[in-house]
Amino acid sequence: MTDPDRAGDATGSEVKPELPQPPGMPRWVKITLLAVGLLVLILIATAVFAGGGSHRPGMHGGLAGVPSSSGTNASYATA
Amino acid sequence: MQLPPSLRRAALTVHVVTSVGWLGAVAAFLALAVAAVLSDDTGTARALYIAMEVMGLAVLVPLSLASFVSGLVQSLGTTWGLLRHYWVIAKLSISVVATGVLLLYLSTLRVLADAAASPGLADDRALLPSTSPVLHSAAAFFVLLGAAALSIYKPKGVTRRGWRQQQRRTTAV
Repeated sequence: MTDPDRAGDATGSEVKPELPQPPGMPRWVKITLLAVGLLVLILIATAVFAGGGSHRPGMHGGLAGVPSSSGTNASYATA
Repeated sequence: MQLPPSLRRAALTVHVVTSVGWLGAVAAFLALAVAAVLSDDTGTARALYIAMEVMGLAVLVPLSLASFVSGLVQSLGTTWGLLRHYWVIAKLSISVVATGVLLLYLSTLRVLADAAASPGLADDRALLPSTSPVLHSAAAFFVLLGAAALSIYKPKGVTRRGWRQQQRRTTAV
């Protein structure tokens, strides 16, 4: 029987013993990176298509913004 | 560099207190932000926006910076290291991003507080009430909750760098 660690290949060079490999990225890290990447893409798309590209209070759709004749906005407008 | 045990415990105490305090302060900020949007009383809502700015400057920013710095000390001064474990890197990233967004968001809080403090200006009518603080603080709350969970569960996973250091230590022994 030939010792696989000492066995040579066709060219005669020695095969080195296999070194321990570093562990791969855990699954929870991959899933988290994917989720964060998707979230960033959604935020960028929202900013570009809905927010006009500039960051300001209420750009995420939260501003009541336009003064109206009823509701909370009206009370701010007349305060 | 390893911290001596007494110093390590002190650093851990500072880190836990400031991190949990930050999470609690964000929850309190979220309550103010929701109350400001839902309030029928304009005066109350205005006072809440002014209070939010004070809270951001006086509570959230100091706690976030203290949590970040104490986290750095904690990881560099213990065997966990800064770049050896994925959960430490994830928590550090959360801390950096959350602190950065908070510092950038201070200018928005200033605009809202100024608008709330000056009734009758055009800005006032255009900006208030705003759900922006609700969205930002709700997002911050869940992100910081994730950071707290990472600290408790410490999910497995060593980086290449951490693995190499482990190998070196093993061969040295």
